[in-house]
This record gives sequence, C-alpha cells and structure tokens, in this order.
Amino acid sequence: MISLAELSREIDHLDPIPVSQPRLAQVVADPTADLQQIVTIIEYDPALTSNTLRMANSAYFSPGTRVHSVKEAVQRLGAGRILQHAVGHGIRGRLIAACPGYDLVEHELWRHSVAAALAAEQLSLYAKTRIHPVAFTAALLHDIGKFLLSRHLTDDLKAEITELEQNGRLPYVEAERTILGFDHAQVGGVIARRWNFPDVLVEAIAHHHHPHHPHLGDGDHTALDAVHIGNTVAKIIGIGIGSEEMNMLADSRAARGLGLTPTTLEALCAAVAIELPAVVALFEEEEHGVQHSDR
Amino acid sequence: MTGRRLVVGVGDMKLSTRAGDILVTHALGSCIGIAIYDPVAVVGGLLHFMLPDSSVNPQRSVENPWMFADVAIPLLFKKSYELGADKRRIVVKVAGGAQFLDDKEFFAIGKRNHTMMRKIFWQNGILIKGEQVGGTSSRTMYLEIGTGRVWLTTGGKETPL
Repeated sequence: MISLAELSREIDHLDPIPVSQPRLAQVVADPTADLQQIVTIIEYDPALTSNTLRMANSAYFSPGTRVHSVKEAVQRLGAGRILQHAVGHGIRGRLIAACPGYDLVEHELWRHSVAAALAAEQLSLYAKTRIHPVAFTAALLHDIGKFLLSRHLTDDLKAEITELEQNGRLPYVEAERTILGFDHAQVGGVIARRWNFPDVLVEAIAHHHHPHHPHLGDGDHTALDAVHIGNTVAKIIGIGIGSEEMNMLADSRAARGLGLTPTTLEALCAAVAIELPAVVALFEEEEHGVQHSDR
Repeated sequence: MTGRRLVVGVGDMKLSTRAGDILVTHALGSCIGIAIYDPVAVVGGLLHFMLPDSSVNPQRSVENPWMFADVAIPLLFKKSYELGADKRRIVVKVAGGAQFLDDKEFFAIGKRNHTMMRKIFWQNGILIKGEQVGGTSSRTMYLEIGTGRVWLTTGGKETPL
C-alpha cells in the first residue's frame, strides 16, 4: 500500500513548475501587493509574458481593442485569472490523462477542473462578498491529488473503498482516508505546498471537501468556499462524476457565507455549463499557439 | 438488423424510429434522464436535462432547450408527436436525480429536478411507468428502439427499469 511519504517522493519527480508561478501566486495572495509587482513577475518570464498578451488579445477576452503591454493585460484580465491560465497550461498535459483509479476517462479530470475553476470565477457575479483571487487557481488544482493517487488505486483498493462507502454509509473521501490513511484532497495540498504555492491556496485544495473544518480558524476562507462550490457545480453539470459520484458533502455554509441562494446556485450552474466549451477550447487554442487577436 | 448507438449528452435529447437503435446517456448524477417510447409507432426519445427551471437563464433555454426541465420535457413530447407518437400510448421511464450529502438541502438540485418533472407530468396527465431516482450514485440509462426496453447501469451493475 502506498504511503504519503512515498507519494511525496513521487511529487519530487514530477516536472518542476516554472518559478514564476509560485511567485505570482504569492503576490496574488498578498492584499498589500501592487500592480507593478505583478507586472514585474510576469515580465521576468518570457513565456508567461507572451501567453498573458495572447490571452488578453484572444477572441474570448478581447473586446476588440488590442493590448500591447503586460500592465494593460493585467488590468484587463486580473492577476488571479492570469495565474490560473499559467498554471493551467503547465498542468493540462497531466490532467487530460485518464484516471482509472477514479473511473475518469481521458480529458474528464481536466474538464472537471476547468469547470470548477470557471465556477469559482463566475461566482463573483452572484456572490455578495469578494472572492479571494487565488480561488480560480485553487479550483483548477483541487483534484490534482487524484491525478497522483489514481495509478496506486488497484482494483482491490477501489473495491475496499466502495464497500466501506456502501456498508459504512461514508462519503467517498472519508472511505478513501480510512482505507489509505489519507485522501486525495490532502495529497493535493501536499503537492501545492511542495510547489511553494501560498498557504491560502494550499488550504483551499487540502480542505475542499471540508470547508468548515474547525481547525481552520478565522481569516479569509473565501477561496476555500469558492473551491468547494466550484467542485459541486462541476458535478451538478455532470462533469467528473467518476467513482466518487455524488457521494460527498455539499456544505451550505460555504454557499451562504458567500451570499448565494439556491436560485443563484442554479444560475451559476447554467452559466458554467454554457461557458465551459469555450474555456476548454481557449486552453487548447493557446496550447497550439492559435491566435485570434486580429479578429 | 444492427442498430446504431446514439449517445445523448448532458443537456441533450435524441429521438429514433429505427428498431435496433440504442439511445444511451451517461453520468446521470443530479441530472434526470427521461425515456419515452410509443410501442405502436416505434418512436423513442431520451432526454438528459440538468436543471429544473429556465427562468434562471431564459436566453439559454432558447439556444439549448434541453438543459432545463420546464422547457425540455414538453418539447421532448412535441418532437415525438411529430414522428407519429401518440400521448395515450407513450410509456415514460425516468432515472437520476441523485443527491449530495447536503446538510440543508441547499444543493438539492436532484430533488428540485425531480419535483419540477413530476409537476409537469401531473399537469399534463402523464404517468410514470418506471422510476429509479435519488441516492448518491451516478447512473447510465439505455433505451432500445423496437423493444422499448429501458435499463440502467450503476456501479457496474445492470438493472431493468
């Protein structure tokens, strides 16, 4: 059986992420940071600079006027969205793979992750409070632990988890933790910490199934709440259901805390279902270097 | 005669009049699948709707009528009548409407989908012949044209409906 220590060693063997990503994440997470700090981090990374400009001038984001500087791009897109896209580009290649350990076919985990990130982003249209800007990136990465754990979930382990779920009447994540000694959310938190992402982002991944964990204390947990809601929205619109199915806690405190109502939740689900194909396509276009900036 | 396998996506509907065709829809979580079949006219349809009420996004219900129960269900029947189905002969079977472990029913979209569906059926005098809804499991639903057979798979187990 796999241990958390062995998984940690596996994380060390994953391709390193560009150093600009945790740096940008730290600045996005810092309420005292100013625009120039964000611009400087992006400009020090040529690939991030060109991706940011391409994204700002893409058909999806461009209202017709071209931007020519990183500063204008940040003002148009927001630093949280730029971070999410930078991380998304780096991680997409891994997340599009099938995750047989979780009964997720090819592209399913990726589409689920993008749907959750899009929901966290669109939440700001319905929420009554400001959502922490790392929320989109945290939502995109919330199931990264599944990617790492999947290959270790043998048919026997999967059967044990399923049996405990059914007979013990436990949520999937609890059954997983009972059998393995840890769960996919914790593993995701370990990965995010190893990549030097800020605490607020690590927390939002590690606790995405338990947004109101008593140990979390006071502070701004809007990113965590947004990730929790993003995950439920992705499931409601039928993406990434897998072996976990609907057997997870949906915590109304997370939704009410942001000022959502059952009706605005449904509006959010509809909005995400509508937008998702375009956002998935946007990542694919950028991957293949397709530019629509002159449309 | 070998039939086709027609996959119905999320927020989608397909009809067939060709015996041997199998309509299938996957990943019915809180969404609901409705299979309708007229054994005399040999007309079958399978709908996979996502949300109960189009008033949250009226524009979308025009672009994609299959997303919302209140628009999708009447249209499913209307499209089947166009292919020769008769309301008095139509057999209706439904599956889905799964639920999260929801502390306050805030996220109970599966239940709200089911309530809206039943209300529409009741208002239109439609009886449900077979139903498997609720729980936390995801379901795959099949309808075979020619026989009208409907079955579900969940967790690798197959059950007739």
